[in-house]
Amino acid sequence: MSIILKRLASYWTGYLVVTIEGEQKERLLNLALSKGISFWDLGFEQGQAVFKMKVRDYMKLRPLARRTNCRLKIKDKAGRPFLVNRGKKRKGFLLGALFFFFILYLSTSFVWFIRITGNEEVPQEKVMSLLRELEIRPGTWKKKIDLDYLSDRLVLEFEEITWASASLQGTLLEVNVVEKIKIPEASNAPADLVAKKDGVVTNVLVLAGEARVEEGDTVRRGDLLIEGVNYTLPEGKGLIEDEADDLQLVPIRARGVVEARVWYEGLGEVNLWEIFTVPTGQVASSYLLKYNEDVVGSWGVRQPPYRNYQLKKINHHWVWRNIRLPVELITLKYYELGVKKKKLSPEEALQKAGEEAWEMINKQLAPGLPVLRKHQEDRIFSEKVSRKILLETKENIAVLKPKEMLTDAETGGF
Amino acid sequence: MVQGKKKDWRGGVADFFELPHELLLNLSKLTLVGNTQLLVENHRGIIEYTQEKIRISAHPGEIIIKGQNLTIKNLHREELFVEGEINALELG
Repeated sequence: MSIILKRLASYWTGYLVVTIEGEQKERLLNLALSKGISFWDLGFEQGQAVFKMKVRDYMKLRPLARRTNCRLKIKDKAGRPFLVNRGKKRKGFLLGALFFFFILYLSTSFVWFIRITGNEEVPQEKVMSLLRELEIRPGTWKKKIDLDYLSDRLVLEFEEITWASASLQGTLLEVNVVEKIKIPEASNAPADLVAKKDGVVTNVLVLAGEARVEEGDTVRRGDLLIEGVNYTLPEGKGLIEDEADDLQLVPIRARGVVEARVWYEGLGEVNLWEIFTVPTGQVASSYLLKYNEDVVGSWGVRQPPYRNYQLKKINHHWVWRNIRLPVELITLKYYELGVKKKKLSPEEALQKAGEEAWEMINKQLAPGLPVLRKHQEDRIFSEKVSRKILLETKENIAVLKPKEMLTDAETGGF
Repeated sequence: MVQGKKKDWRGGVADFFELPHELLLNLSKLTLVGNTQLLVENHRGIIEYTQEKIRISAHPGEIIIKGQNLTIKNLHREELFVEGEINALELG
């Protein structure tokens, strides 16, 4: 048996701390050993031997002590049995401890916190007032709360809520609601279709309205493509060529697709000499001490000591709990930067210019568009290179533009 | 303390079969860990016990442990465990 197990066992059965006094202490111990009595933690204090032993061995030890003229004394009783005894004597304390755990247990059977999540349209206050109506508030006994009824009531009470759940997590009542998503109604206001980009029209499909461009037309951004108008005859008149003037214009919402070839251009220019900075490792610092926004002291370098540098500013406040001291230390650190030049080969430079050009194009180009043609133009000068990229795509350039409400006087002049 | 003739043949047997001496010759076995712990197995009792010096009757003769703050952590019929700062160990 390991020592730890022995200690645990002795704690369970209880043990005594015993002192012996007398000339023949050692003989007493040896005699006891030969009777099979064990000791542990033997110590020596002022001519006394102190040790620990099992309770039931103590009775065997007493006659031996008498024989060797030693005085035995129990210094302490330790272990579970004695603790239990003490507990029996101190009933009040035990009762208090029990009472504490009882109260703790009792307090967990109430709701103390309410959390409502998922509500955006329905105000928190309204949900809370419904809860109050159902007599649910911090301090309500958990068993009195009908969670299913609560979630049903939430759905019935508020039109905006489609689904609700209520659950208890410890002393927290969590109410989760899902609100209806409102789909914006399709507008029917009169509108024209105009070009959102420059291009050459390749295809016109009119669903509603009157086409104002045809295939092959070059359009600029903002040009009218399909006008949102409808012709109707005045009542009681048939359609005769000559009477075309009598046609009435009714504004409608234009619908249709206008496909056009659109060009995108990207240009990248790169210097053959690349200039870049590298920290040299030199650092200079200066310190400012502020008191209520006033500088009261400064140390270190006054001005930036380097021609090229990077500045790092560190503010330091002293805060203790909520109290912020009015003193502030500002550390300015200047990191020296060395300027270096590197000559790029024309190929490298062109590659970089190309990346720039593509970046420029990608900013304008909507993803997923088919590229019909690509054209690339490189130029190499003595100091720099440039790459120009031209892309041709085919896309729908029609975009809705609400009609300005025309006054009667203006329509009359048509 | 084992007598001459007896020791001879038992020791011989133990040597021949590579058996532990403490079993065949009934000797004490001492296990010293650093200078802080000493386990004495098969002892015959304490002769003297203070914080500076512990004398133990053993097979054969006597073991004297000298040091500081010596305590006997465990004391059983067969086993004795000393802890403390052990400075000297004498076998006589």
